[in-house]
Amino acid sequence: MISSKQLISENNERRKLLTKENEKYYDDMLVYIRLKAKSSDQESEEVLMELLNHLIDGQQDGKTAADIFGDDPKGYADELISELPKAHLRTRLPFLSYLLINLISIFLLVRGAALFIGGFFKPVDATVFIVKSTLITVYWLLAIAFLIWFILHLVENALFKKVSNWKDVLKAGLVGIISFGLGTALLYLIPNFGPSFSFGWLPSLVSGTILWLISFWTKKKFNLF
Amino acid sequence: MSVRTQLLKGVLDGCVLSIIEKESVYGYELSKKLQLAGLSDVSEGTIYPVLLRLQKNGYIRGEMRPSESGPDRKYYSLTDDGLAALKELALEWANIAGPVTTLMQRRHTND
Repeated sequence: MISSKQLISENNERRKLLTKENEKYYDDMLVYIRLKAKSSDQESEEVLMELLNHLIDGQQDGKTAADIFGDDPKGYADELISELPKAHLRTRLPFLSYLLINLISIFLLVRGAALFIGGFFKPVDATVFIVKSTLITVYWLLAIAFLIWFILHLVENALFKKVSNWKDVLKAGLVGIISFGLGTALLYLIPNFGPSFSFGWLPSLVSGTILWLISFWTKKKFNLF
Repeated sequence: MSVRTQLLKGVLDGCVLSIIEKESVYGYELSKKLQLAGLSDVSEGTIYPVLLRLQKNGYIRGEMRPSESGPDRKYYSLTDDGLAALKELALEWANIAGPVTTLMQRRHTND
């Protein structure tokens, strides 16, 4: 069997054979299917490769992408997506855990470094209030998930259109700034209360490094990307 | 959607299965064979949703194979379930096609 990674790199090579017009048509479909299909990468990459090969063969017979796949690329892509088998959440679990662990490890590393460097200039307070920290962590995870969803949603809507939309870039930027601002504001809005413990720069750096190594191992072990 | 496309939609699965029964083919070959059989205005792209559905139902098996000359192709072959489904489809089709043809022809002679 040819792996999805190989298929992706072969796809990148073979796409160069397309005419400008066919490439535009195919590229939109490719991005749309990669974003929206809930199937395994293997299955979506295989069908994308089939479509590409068909298009290249047809091109040699003087056909355009619209001749082969119809005048409604979005509708056609939706039809394909609806027939692709859905992957179990279980197969996505390694990737999702990788993302989560990696994110937390980077946060801990940055926090540790900031506390360490900041300590040279002024006394830093390394106290962690459990309730407050939990709330803020949950906020950031939700905000990041929402931002990713929002940007993907914008990309999906922008596909299959003739003109690129600068308003989308503005919208994404605005939503990004608002969620970042809100996250920062929460630090001051939520009072320090309840149980707390001291978590200095060294334990922060050490735990961050350990988690980062775990995420690295997950990536290698499950051959994520 | 033209009347012809609508009519074909229901039987296209059977047409695809019957071609794959003869020999394993990849997408482009399959569309050529459908055209050769006279189904020239089946838009070529329509076979891919059909192929995905047939795979999902376990009627056909697709295997991506590298070839010495040219790109990797996904070759489809019929499974045992697919053969059973094809037999049933062929039988049902015969049951429908006969009476429908007769009805349509009688319409003509009554003009």
